Amino acid sequence: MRREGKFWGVAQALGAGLCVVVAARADESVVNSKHDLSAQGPGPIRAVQENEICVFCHTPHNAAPQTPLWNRANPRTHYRIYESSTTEARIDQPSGPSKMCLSCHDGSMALGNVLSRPVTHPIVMTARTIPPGTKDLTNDLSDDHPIGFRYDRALSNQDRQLKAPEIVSPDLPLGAHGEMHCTTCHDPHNNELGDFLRESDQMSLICISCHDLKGWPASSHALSNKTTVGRVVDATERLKYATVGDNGCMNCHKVHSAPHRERLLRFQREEDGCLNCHSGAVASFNIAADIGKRSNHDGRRRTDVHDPTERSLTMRRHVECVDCHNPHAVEHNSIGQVAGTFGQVLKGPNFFASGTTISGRDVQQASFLYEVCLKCHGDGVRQGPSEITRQVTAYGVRAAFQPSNPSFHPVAAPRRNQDVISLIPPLRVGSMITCTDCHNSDSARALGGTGANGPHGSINEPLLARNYDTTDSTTESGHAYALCYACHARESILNDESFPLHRRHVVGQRTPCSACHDPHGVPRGSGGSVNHASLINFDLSIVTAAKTPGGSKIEYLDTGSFSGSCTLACHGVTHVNFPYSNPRQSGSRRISSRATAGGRP
Amino acid sequence: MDAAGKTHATSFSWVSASIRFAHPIRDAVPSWVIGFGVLLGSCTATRPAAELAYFPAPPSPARVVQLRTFRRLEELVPPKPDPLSLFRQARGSAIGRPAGLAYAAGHLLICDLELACVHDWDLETGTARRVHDAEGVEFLHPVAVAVDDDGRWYVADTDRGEVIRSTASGSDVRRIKPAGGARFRPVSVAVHMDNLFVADIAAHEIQVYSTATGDLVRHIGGVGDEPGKFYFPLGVASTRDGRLLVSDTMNSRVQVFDPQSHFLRAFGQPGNRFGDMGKPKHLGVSHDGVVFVADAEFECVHVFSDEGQLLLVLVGDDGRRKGTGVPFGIALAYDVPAAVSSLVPADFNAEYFVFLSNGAGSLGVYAVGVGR
Amino acid sequence: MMLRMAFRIVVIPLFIMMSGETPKSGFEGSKHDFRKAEWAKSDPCAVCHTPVNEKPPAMPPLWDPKADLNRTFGTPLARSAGAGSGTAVCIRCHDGTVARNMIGRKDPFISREHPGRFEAGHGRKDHPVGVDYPPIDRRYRPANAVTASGSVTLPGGKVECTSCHDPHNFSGEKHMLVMSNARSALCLTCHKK
Repeated sequence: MRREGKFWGVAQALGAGLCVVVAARADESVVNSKHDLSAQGPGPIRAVQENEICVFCHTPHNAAPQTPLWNRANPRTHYRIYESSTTEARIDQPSGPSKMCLSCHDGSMALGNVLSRPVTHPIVMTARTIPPGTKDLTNDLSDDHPIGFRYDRALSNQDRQLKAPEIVSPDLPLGAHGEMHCTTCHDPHNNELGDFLRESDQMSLICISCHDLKGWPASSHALSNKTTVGRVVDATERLKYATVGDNGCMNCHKVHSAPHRERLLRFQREEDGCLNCHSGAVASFNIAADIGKRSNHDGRRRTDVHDPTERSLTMRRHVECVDCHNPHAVEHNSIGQVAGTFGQVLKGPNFFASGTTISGRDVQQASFLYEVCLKCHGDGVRQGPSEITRQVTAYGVRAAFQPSNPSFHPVAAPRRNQDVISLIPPLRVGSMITCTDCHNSDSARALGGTGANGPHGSINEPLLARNYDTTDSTTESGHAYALCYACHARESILNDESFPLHRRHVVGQRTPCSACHDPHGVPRGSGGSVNHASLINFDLSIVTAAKTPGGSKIEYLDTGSFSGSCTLACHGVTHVNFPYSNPRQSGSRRISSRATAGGRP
Repeated sequence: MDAAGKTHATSFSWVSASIRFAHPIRDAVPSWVIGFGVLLGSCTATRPAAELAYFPAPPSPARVVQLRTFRRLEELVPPKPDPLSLFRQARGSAIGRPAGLAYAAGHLLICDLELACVHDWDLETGTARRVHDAEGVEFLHPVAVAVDDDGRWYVADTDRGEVIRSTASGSDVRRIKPAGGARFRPVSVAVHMDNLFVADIAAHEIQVYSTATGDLVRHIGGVGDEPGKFYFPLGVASTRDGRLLVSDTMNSRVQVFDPQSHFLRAFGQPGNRFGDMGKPKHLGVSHDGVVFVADAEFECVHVFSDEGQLLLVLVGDDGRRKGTGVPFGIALAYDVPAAVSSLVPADFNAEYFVFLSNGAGSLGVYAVGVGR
Repeated sequence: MMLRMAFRIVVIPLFIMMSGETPKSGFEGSKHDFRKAEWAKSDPCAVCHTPVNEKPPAMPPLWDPKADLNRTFGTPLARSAGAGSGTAVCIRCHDGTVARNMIGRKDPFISREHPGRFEAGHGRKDHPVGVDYPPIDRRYRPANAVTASGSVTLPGGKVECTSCHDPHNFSGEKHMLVMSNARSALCLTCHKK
């Protein structure tokens, strides 16, 4: 360095200082930003003596033939690129501007290695290469937001959750052919917004510039002003903003160096992303406590099995939070579960979740809550643990709830049987219920408890909201069959208002409801509506066939309103064509008056 | 005439097509009138008359006419329609910064300092190719090229410090440089019979090599301003009878040597008038001893006789002649293909042509003869 | 003995002072100071500045008898001279022949040692010269702000070699810059980054 005369030195410093001050506010200029690698730079990584700022990337003469007078050689690394089952884009190796960023940020090339200095005398830096950490992307880009694909009309037509490229803000420049580059989101000179972002990531504005997720703008995750204090899984990790809504996508996703590569999740285990907050501290309700109960949908049992592209018939057995919830679209369910009135329509927490229709077709957006359940429970991926062997076996509850069945609880369609007179108002003949009217957390808010709604976990097997005994010789009580008595008035049943021998069987003989009734529905089997009205589908471990002159037979015959006959053997008694009818109900007196035009189902 | 010939074909097909289908205009006007109109239009389109400039300016009889400036081969020689061109990747013939030129047998060779290659333009067929190396010897700073009678190329590469000899197809490569590893920076080459003259600005001398063996035969010159010495000899050219002309750049003069390399005369001196020279770079000599000197400082081309008599200065009225810019390389061409000779106006009798390269990226072509 | 002392005390420092280690007066001792050059002979300024010939020539060119004998060639070189002269006069020598090449392919050892494959062509790029300064662009400061700084010039409204480089090196900066590039101040005079 030449020795300067004093006057010139001062004048020079003044001139340089003046130029810097006039140049720009420190924020939006590269001067004094993290990319100011000169010896006077602010960060821990900087040159030891070099006082020029631009030289680390640019040089006016002798530059590489890339557009911005590039002063570095390109890395020759082959990168592992992002892969996901839900990507429609064709992702290639990074090119052009992305390679320029990666020439420092992949940790392979020395930072001081610039073309304008001989390779034997690079610029001496405090760190030779970028140190391992969040800024070192390494050559494994599969855990980073994908780049190197063309974001064009074809892509946005295929992937409906991307905005059309024409309406993406021009502040986010794409490459010459619409390619996504590092420089689409980052401006290497301007650190005004932090992380050298081109748009703010508060409320994930920069993310939703391109990603158009169904239901996000109104979702509770986007609008929540809950603070992120009290997280369970990553309690010490610093999130950029204080509230869940401000963090937006970053609550669950990590754009660079994501622990869970596919879909860039912040947690290796999928459910951790939810349980992080939904364990009683950040979010309103403690789901973690529910899924720890005896009967549960516990997502923690399996990892990396769920895939959003799975089909209900071919998927492996698993459950995750995202099987029932779409975290981008969830909304508060302020109304709560009201059995019988709104039960069938999809509510906030399950908006835009996928499901399987009653006819067996997988749909991206379920319209009804039961469709979400049918995804797994419809056709037999998951059969209940306490499988009761019955006359007619339903393989999966989808078969049980078919509207063409002889009898069914009205989940998929309203029931037409006029004879259900035990229903507690506001339920009536023609009402519809949904799965969560029976299968719910025992502490659910909708049922009077203080916990979350929904079949996350319950002390009652199989994930029932209330107690339901199914063993023979159970002493009748309000608690024993609480599940049934929630909708069917106990007094009506025990006063024999419908079946005249209920009291005799249930109280006298201590038979459970499930001995004769099938709680979901009876699929088409032998007999049809004559044999299986009123959900009659005998539990063969309690009820056995009777010996008749025509052979062993177990049969129920519906012979009219509130009358029928049974042929079976049970508790040591054999009934052969034993008829019954209810004298109180003979005649045309009906309790529910607004029935549809009569007729048996 | 290539381009017009092509247009002939298309215009004919257009006319014949129009005969087949009913058309209101076609029916109103006889078809031969339409065809002729198309022909006329295409003919005038191929030759931009505005580029022509006569030296000396009219009304004096013109001796030199500037024909065209161009940046790509397609501007000079329209390419033949190539049915395979859809499938073949088109390679642009754009030049970066041209330096030395050479012309032989219908091929114009252009050294390109920006792209570090030698362009080989075939003026007959209109095809261009870029030569970046010879048998793996990559050109780093190809500043001048010369072609001998056998068609071999001699490329002076300043940064390599070698003159690379190869055939036109890039084989039989020999790297010519002084033995002993002395610093050698060749900036210009000229060939006469089996003598290769190389201007070396490291030692400020002209080195004469044998083209057969590649050995150094003798030196001419050295540093100095006396006759026979040079300050930065940037250009060499040889006459048909073996005399050597050297543009002595920093002395602002041209020196002439006999075939035995004895000093004959020098002409030119610093100044800013007719007869003075600025910074002469490359030069070319015609068969009848007319010397064309590219002057980078005056941005013009001096025309001298080999006795030193100033004949003409090719420069515009405002001192900036379009396409002259930073003149560097000169090549004289006899027997040019029709594409170039057709540029000459009919009333000008061109004896030979001069190509001039402009360091700012374009090339110019002049026709020299007697006309009007 | 006294002579030796005198030599050490007087002459050697004198040599040091005169050896060219004088950054302040940038021109002396710079690479464009051709007075030291062996080949610059009597007129070192003539390397760049066209010497003026007072006398018009006696005869016109042989083929052009009507030429104006008072005609002069070359351009007087001033920093505010017309467009193009700020670059053409530099390129004359700085094309790899006389002096270091500033256009296109460069030092071989750099490209060999930095084996990253360049994606476009074989050559190298340089800062554009001879181009108009961009009129209104948020990436660049306005032209009058640039010239108001006093060091950087835009001859004819264009960016030329002389916009950033002073061939006389009066400022004494390295690379013959018109001002110091500490903290990239020269770059940031025009580029708004």
